[in-house]
Amino acid sequence: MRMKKKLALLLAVVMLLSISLACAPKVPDSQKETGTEDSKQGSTPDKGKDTLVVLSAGAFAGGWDPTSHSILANKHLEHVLYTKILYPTDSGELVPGLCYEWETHDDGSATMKIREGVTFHDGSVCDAEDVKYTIENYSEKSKPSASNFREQLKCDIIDPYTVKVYPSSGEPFAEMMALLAGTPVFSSERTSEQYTNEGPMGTGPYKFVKFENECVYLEAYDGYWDTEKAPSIKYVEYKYVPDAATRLAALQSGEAHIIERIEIEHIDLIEKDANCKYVEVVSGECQMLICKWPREIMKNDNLRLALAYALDREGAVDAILGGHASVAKGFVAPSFVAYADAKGLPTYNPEKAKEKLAEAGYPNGEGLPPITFTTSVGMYAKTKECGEYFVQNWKDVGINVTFNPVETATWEELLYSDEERAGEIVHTGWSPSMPDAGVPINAHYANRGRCNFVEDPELTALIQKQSRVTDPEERLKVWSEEVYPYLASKCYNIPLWVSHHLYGYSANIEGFVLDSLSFCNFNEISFK
Amino acid sequence: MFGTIVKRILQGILVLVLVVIITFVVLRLIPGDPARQMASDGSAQAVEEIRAEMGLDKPIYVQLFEYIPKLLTGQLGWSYFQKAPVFDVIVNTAPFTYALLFSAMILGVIMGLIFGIIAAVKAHTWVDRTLSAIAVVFQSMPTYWVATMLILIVSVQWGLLPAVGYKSPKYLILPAFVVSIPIFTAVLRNVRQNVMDGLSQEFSRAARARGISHITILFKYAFRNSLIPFITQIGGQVGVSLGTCVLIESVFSLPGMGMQILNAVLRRDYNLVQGLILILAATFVLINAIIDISYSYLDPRIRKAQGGL
Amino acid sequence: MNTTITATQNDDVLLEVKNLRTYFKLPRNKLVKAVDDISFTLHKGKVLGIIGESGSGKSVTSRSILRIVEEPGYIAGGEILFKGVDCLKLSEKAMNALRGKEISLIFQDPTTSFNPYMTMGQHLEEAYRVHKAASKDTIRKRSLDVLKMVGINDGENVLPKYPCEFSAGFRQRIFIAMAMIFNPDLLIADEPTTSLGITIQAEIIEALNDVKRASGTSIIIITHDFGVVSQFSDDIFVMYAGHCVEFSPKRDLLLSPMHPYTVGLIRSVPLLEARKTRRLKSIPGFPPDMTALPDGCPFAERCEYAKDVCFKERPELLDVGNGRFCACHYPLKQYRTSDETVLEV
Ligand SMILES: Nc1ncnc2c1ncn2[C@@H]1O[C@H](COP(=O)(O)OP(=O)(O)OP(=O)(O)O)[C@@H](O)[C@H]1O
Ligand code: SF4
Ligand SMILES: [Mg+2]
Repeated sequence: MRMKKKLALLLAVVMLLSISLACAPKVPDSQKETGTEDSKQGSTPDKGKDTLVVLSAGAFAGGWDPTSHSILANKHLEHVLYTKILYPTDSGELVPGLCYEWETHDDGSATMKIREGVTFHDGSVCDAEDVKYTIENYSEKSKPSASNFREQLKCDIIDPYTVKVYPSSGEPFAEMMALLAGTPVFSSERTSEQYTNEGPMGTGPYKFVKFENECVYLEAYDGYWDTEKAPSIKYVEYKYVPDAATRLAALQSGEAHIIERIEIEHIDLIEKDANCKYVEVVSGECQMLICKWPREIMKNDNLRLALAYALDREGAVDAILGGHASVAKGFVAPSFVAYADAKGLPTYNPEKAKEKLAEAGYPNGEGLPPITFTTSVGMYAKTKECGEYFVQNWKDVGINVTFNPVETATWEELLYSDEERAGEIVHTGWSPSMPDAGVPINAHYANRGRCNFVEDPELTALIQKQSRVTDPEERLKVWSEEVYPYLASKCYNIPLWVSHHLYGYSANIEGFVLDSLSFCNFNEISFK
Repeated sequence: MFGTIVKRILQGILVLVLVVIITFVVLRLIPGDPARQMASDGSAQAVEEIRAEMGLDKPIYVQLFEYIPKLLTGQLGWSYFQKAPVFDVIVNTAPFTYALLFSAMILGVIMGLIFGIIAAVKAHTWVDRTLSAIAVVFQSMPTYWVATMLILIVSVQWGLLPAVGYKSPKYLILPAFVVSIPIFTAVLRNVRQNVMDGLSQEFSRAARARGISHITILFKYAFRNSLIPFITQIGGQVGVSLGTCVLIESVFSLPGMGMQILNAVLRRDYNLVQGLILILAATFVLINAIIDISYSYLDPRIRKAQGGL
Repeated sequence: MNTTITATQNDDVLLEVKNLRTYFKLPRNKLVKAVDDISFTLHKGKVLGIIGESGSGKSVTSRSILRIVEEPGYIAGGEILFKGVDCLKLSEKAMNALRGKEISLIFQDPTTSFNPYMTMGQHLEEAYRVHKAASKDTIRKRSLDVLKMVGINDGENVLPKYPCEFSAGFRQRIFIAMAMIFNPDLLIADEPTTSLGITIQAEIIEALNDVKRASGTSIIIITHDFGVVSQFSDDIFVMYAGHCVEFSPKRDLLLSPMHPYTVGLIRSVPLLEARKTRRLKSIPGFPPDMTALPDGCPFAERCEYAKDVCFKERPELLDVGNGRFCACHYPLKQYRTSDETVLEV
């Protein structure tokens, strides 16, 4: 009897232990302890190592079809898996990608020459067929990838390596080429099921191996067309690590080589650590305050201007963001095609704000209906602190604003909502992967602005006008003399600042360059 | 006896049904839109189309009536974000969470037991006071902070253990230790108190008066009598620990259900949240049912009252 | 202090307690002298009753004899001679060999003195096995025997059951049986009936009587109820605030108590007859604060005979002849209990 009981107890313990051991997830041998495992590379150089470990701050979405999402982590990945039609530079130019030569025509179409000898990771040849398929699918209105395309693009094959692209409406628009820069070329033969089951496939320097345990495994592609920029590191592990402190710890312990999005407070730690470095890049992301037009009160031009004049943006950048942002002088990031400083953009001036408030019909804020200001917590750096700062700014001139910080998904819904519950003001950032001023300005202000729902026929006409001007210089003139000053005089959205990308990386790697759109070419990185 | 088990199972099912319905409705009522998450800057039209594809354009009760029959046939639906069946996501991620949970439970319970008994035996001496102080310190430290400190010390400073991801069971050590801390402190205090109570019970004194050794009294009398409160507490700890796992997985980037659920909630990936919560709740219900049923084996009084076995 | 109750026939002496002192250390340097300098003798085959109010130190005395006083208590001095050997000098192991084998202790509350997770059979078996290896059958037979001794004839049905399945009175009988498993020379019953109903009390006393008759064990019976001691003790020992205030053969004590406290106790006995004729008189006031006992007589505060000297000097336990001892400056030489309270002997 007693014996039995003891046996039962023993069995129970053994079972529990074996369950937990059995539960210990199995990892295929191939993947075990490769590369940077057995860490503390901080002190031991990575020479001879063949795996680059990159930590993503955002989660990867499955499915892998490039047209099915607009998720940043996946876009980062696509940057090395695919070759894009063109590439934008941070000085606002377009440089060759898969297309090495192009010519725009007055009717809004463009002829593009495509590189020969480019192969997909499965060995098939990439030609005009694939480019046509890519362009037409990527810009199809119902696809998430098309969000920045003003309209569906069409493509005619002229010969196996030449295509002609044109807007489906036949109406020319100037930012078409910028939209193509940033479009990854994918195979016309790959089905949605293949994307789901086998993962993404392109012509980029790295090919997709697998996605497992929140980590994407990449391997250098032997057949990469740009032999000068063939990858020097054989494998890449692109791992999702949500916690910023953990990402930093992994960098410091040598477990990771590149980490996305370090926090401002962590910069000090990195500077003190000889094995770690960080890079700060002015991004393409312009943060702003959306004024919701459907709210009657926000239709009052003077009130919006009062709100804008009251904001001490320099103060917020210095005090809260530690200088890690550039106060906006225009309505998009300076790296964009067709950027210019906006003449007449309100700057911090409480007196002027009070004046405008009086002109708006609310001297010293008397009789002002309630205003709600919504911001996200966790989306951009220190939004909550900045929000509180602004609320104080407004209060100083007599505008009482209710502050409403919310979690990101809620915020995102409110951002795109014209309903009452969205309130009057919403803080957001905007960073399309196609860096042409026409893209965000069109989305935000033409017809019915995407977030503010503004309806201003005069402005819509101006935006249409610039997009018809195909000559870059003339176009820029329209922007700087007509569109931007008009925007500044209205302040339908109030620009705040252009954020900075802060990435950490190991001192053991070289060739790490981050662009304003937070893309990075892993193939140009090597171990020291 | 059989009746009790059936009753427990029915109760468990009821709880799970409630969990499913509440999660289903609450998820759809809180602000946030999964379609918007997939196409964040997409046009209203694109978002509407995605929503229709997800079936979210219908009224909630219609969605629920479509969901429940599917659930009953074992279909958990499709994850919007992962673009994979929820079932597959669970199968891929559950092992990490269960491994973490069980190893943490075992670690915490064993440590708690050993030190709890030592503290009880050495009650009111410096040993006891030190142990209690350690427990209080551990308990008052936020788990997130402990995790971060451990990573800094063990991974960054000493380079002993890896901090992020999962490649081998060694990656479980730090997170399991962190999750085990609340279990350890709770078990320690519980065992200490109950064993002390047990030792001061009349039957322990009576046993001493019969010449029975200290060690026998400690285990066969005092500890045996604290088993039920102890096991009850473990049942409660499962819930707490599952919560800690969810939090800690993200810190260590352990690709388990916890990391999934946080993302799924952020992304409003309804089906995935629903599936994961169902599994977590089922785990909790199941363990507690087992514990409840085990009472009747452990306690003759309950056993006799139920008139079986 | 110099007077000890010495045995008249030394060879007959089973237990001799000399100047026993058991103290409890309390926080903030307080000391409770729960048993302070008590002495008594128990002869073979005799029954000694210890009586006193709650908190007077009766249980501590019994635990001191077995040396199972718990922290923060400790035995501060004295001698406990069991069969001529000083228990206080024995090793813990040797002491353990006595516990339950030669000296058994019966507890007050039978509902808490059994381990709820062990059957009665396991209890008895364990009580046996600690002292002696034996086959299951031997133990079983012995178990059934001792159960019979307390009037339980269907022992087979009792052994496989758990404590929770029996009434309190029945459990107490089983406990007594368990205490008798080795036929100990000394049985200490610490208020064995206090937690039980009136009718059950009688049964338990009966069971103790049976046990005594069957085995010739010496018994110390602790109680605060004269009804219990009067029935079968030979000598009575009255305790107050850790001190012995009176020691006397039962009959003498009941008929002519000498210590005012004893008188008070007798007057408060809830006898049926007493209730008919006059109101019960409980002793006024409360027992003293054990952490701060007065210098004088500890009973002085409540004593109707107290004079000045009682508050200044502590009365010593003095031999007053006829085997009687009393600690009082003004012992009552002439006091006689009324007829009603004289109990059948
Ligand atoms: N564990 C302990 N800690 C501190 N003091 C104690 C302890 N046990 C007993 N005492 C002290 O010893 C005194 C005597 O206690 P004891 O239990 O012997 O009284 P008693 O005469 O048996 O009373 P009762 O009739 O209530 O059983 C108590 O007044 C108490 O002050
Ligand atoms: S000594 Fe004095 S106070 Fe104490 S009992 Fe005797 S008469 Fe009373
Ligand atoms: Mg007592």
